[in-house]
Amino acid sequence: MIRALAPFVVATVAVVMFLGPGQVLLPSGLRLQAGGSITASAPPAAHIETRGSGLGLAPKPVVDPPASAARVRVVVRPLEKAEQGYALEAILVAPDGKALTNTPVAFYELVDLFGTREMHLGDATTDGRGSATLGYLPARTGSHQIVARSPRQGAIIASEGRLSFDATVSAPAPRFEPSALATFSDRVPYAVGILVLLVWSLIAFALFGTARGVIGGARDTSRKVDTA
Amino acid sequence: MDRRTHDRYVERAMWPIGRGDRNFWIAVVALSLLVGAGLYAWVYQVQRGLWVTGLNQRVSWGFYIINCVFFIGISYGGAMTSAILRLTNAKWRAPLTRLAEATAVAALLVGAVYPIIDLGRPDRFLNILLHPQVGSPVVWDVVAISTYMVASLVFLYLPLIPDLATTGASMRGGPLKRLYGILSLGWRGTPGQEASLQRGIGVMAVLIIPLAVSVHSVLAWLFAVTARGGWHSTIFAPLFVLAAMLSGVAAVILVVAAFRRVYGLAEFITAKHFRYLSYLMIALGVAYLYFMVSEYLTEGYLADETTAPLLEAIFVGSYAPAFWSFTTIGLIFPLVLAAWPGRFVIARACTASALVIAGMWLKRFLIVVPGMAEPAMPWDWGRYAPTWVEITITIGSAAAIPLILIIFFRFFPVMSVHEMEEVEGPPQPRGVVLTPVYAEGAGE
Repeated sequence: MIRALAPFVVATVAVVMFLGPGQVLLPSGLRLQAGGSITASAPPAAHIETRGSGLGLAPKPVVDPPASAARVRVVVRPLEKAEQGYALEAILVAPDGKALTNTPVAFYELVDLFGTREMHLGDATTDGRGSATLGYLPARTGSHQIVARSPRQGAIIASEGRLSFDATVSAPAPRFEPSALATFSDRVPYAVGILVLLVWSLIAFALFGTARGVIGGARDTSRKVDTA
Repeated sequence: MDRRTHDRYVERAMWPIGRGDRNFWIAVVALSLLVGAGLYAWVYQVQRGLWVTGLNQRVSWGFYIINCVFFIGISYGGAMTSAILRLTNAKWRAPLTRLAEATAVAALLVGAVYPIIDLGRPDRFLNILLHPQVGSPVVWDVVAISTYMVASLVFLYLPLIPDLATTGASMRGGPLKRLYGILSLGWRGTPGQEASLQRGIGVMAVLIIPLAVSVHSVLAWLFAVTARGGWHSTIFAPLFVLAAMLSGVAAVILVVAAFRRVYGLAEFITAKHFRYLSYLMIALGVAYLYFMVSEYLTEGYLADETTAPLLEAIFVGSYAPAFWSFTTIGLIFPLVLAAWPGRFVIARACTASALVIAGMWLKRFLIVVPGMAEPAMPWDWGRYAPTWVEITITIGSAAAIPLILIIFFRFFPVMSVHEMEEVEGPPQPRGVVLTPVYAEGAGE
């Protein structure tokens, strides 16, 4: 009996070691804790992929969210003054169809800097219609991927929505006008260089001047001193 | 000074030269092993790249830059101690100056290597020389450190000239005697030679102070010209200079205490020397505390968006244990300990110095790492944990300083004989007993 069970015991131990100490993955998504209790693990954050090919098109859900997640619809619209950029709007709807009010939403943009990262754009809170809006003036035109994310709110787990859009307006490129100090600061390194040369001259004077004096004094036989 | 004390001074100053007793070799082998381990770790890093360290994209400055600032700071303290004692013509300086100057050079040799270690690819150091950008503080850092290194070596060499002649004269023959003869430039102590030597030492003593200030200021500007929270501070350069002086004087106290004990110099290096050096350390420590409070107060009162998270992390966040350990155990307590009147002056000075040195290393950590870890972009905080490579290199480099010193003092007098004669005057004939100026207070 023991011999028959041995392979299963070994296999179980191997699975435990592979998954890490303290937990065993069970088929139903439950985890066996080290103490023997079984706890339910929450499903992953709701993920709604919305796409807008340009402005004015309604976002199209790609993946249906789990029942306990809020639906996050992200839309973008230009502001009245075009040079001010866009309004990013996240509309949060609870699983029961009601608007999620007074919920914080964080907006991010996916950027490529040493790998893909989320750059935090800002935060907003949903109003009575479940809408959170953030003004956004992109740094460049072209395609932008926006992520709106809300944290867990009671029974509703953390949720997020995404949107890709093409920006035609961007912040004006920074202009580098020459500073009045530019002429001065351009010359500073050379002034410092002269100072460094002066210091080296002093060091050389101290070393070679002393050596010259000592060697010259050694030839002076007028006074001999017993150094021993 | 009477002839007998003079002779004993000369005998103790020259005692280690050419000698290698069992303890000497044990110390050399033990320290060499540590240095060798550090070299192995460095070669390991060069072969595999910087990924073997704890440095990463967020925190790209770690132990190496901390150690660079720390060891160069110690060097500065050594040079400054000697220069100030010479310029103020302190009568008690004779047994200390050589140890302080040698400590300055040894610490500088170690500290100056760290930027190259931090590069990961040492061959790329040549790019700074071949393609320098004069607007970059890094280029000026190289210029300042190399200038300071040459100046420190000259500052060590010039006062050695008469002692080299004395050492050479005490030898019977051989290549070492010839070498001492060459290095002593034919010194015989004529008035002309004395005048030349004093002029050279005077120039270097004046020059070494602004040079050392410039080195540490440029190091500070490497941080301060960066638009990062906690770094972009106008007070950084004087703060770095003060930190360097503080840790340097503490290191000199420890070095002097160690050589006093091992080389039997207790008769000449007395409690008075430690008391005076402690005064210097206390004054510098109080000044540093004032500068630090001033920096944090102004930054904390404004609390702009770059500095507020950093100060929060330092005061109450993940770096709070390090910060409060430094402030209490590494700064305030040692100053009180050193200033406390009473007995055990030397023991208290050494304990306070050891704590100050550890505290100042921690302070450099608190400058470098949180400043790097705080996200400049809206991302998470970076994390840094050194690997065995950085720790081994750090230990190896720290061991290199005593190794350099004990090897150096196997060839050169540990105390300046010429300076002692200069301060005390010519030795009096036997029978006349005088208390040497440097030894007053020896009974404490």
